[in-house]
Amino acid sequence: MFEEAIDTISDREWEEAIAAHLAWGETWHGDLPADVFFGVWASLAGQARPLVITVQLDTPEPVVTVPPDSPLTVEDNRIVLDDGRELVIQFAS
Amino acid sequence: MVLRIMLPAEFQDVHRQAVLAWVRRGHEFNHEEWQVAIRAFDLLKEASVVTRQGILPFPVVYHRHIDEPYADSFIQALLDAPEIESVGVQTWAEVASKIFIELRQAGLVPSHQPATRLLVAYCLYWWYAFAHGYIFEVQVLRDLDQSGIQFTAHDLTSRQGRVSPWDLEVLGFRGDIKRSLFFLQTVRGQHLPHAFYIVRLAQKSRSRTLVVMMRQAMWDVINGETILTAVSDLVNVLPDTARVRVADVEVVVADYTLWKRLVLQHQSEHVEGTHV
Repeated sequence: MFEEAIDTISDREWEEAIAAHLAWGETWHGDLPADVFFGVWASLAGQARPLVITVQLDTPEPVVTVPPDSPLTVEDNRIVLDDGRELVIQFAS
Repeated sequence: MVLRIMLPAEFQDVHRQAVLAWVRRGHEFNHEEWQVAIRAFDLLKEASVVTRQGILPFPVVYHRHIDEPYADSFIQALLDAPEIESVGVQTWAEVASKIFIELRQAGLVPSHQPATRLLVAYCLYWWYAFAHGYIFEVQVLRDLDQSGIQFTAHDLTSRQGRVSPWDLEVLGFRGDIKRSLFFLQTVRGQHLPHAFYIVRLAQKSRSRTLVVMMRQAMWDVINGETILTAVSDLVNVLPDTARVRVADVEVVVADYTLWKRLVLQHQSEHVEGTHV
């Protein structure tokens, strides 16, 4: 299915891979064929997926971050769920 | 400086291969390859780079080095552009070409430490998702406005506005605008949190087609007919409207132009919001 692993190729091959990405990214924008789209959706639909929340404690105030695609929204110490409900994180020392 | 990459235990060799393959040729992936690649990029959200200063999770690196410096100006460029796609793709490429260099200058991708390439690939993937996702969203919002559809949309110009749980409201229903790939990355659980999703798919006969996938409740309001279809036959049914079941989720899939016509018709006949 795939070729080498990302950490086994040479620096030159890695730079060529990035150049290839920059080239195809100009013309292909993330629109999947319908059969691939629904096929992948059906395959993934039943898989549980954890929601990742990162709390950094090495800063003057704790910083809460979620990944770019997260269905969660962070507003200060509040985490807003996709149905509008909120979780409030209280930090105690 | 020697760095260490901490990966979740589930991240295997096949995921290392999938990440490189996506960088090289993600546009050619088939069904099976996407399944692995989506899982790989999911797992990388739990990865961290360990520096002398401490542990930096990949999402934090992305936030500091990509999102904060580039996201707002990218969105503003789209909103100001007469030709959204060409300006958007050019701006995406300018930033993408700098990601590797800037992460290296920040000391996060030292040469001869090939495992740190995973961090570069993670940032490339999410910048690609962000840029192409918002190019599409701004195109759709502008088209809805020009078509006379009454809607409210989240504020794209601020990060807080962008990360709101839904993108827009039409007829009192909440919806999202997603490239098909990023729909799969974000919305794939056992339920669909929103009433509708405007999605673009590639087709053999037409290069790209816009569809609206919606819950039955919204389709009932705009009063359309459906054909019960197996997912495998959906490609042949479009642009007719279909009703499909994916896992336990049943959705109505309608052509975007038809959906707009029915929404406009409904909005001209009703005071918005009174039916919900």
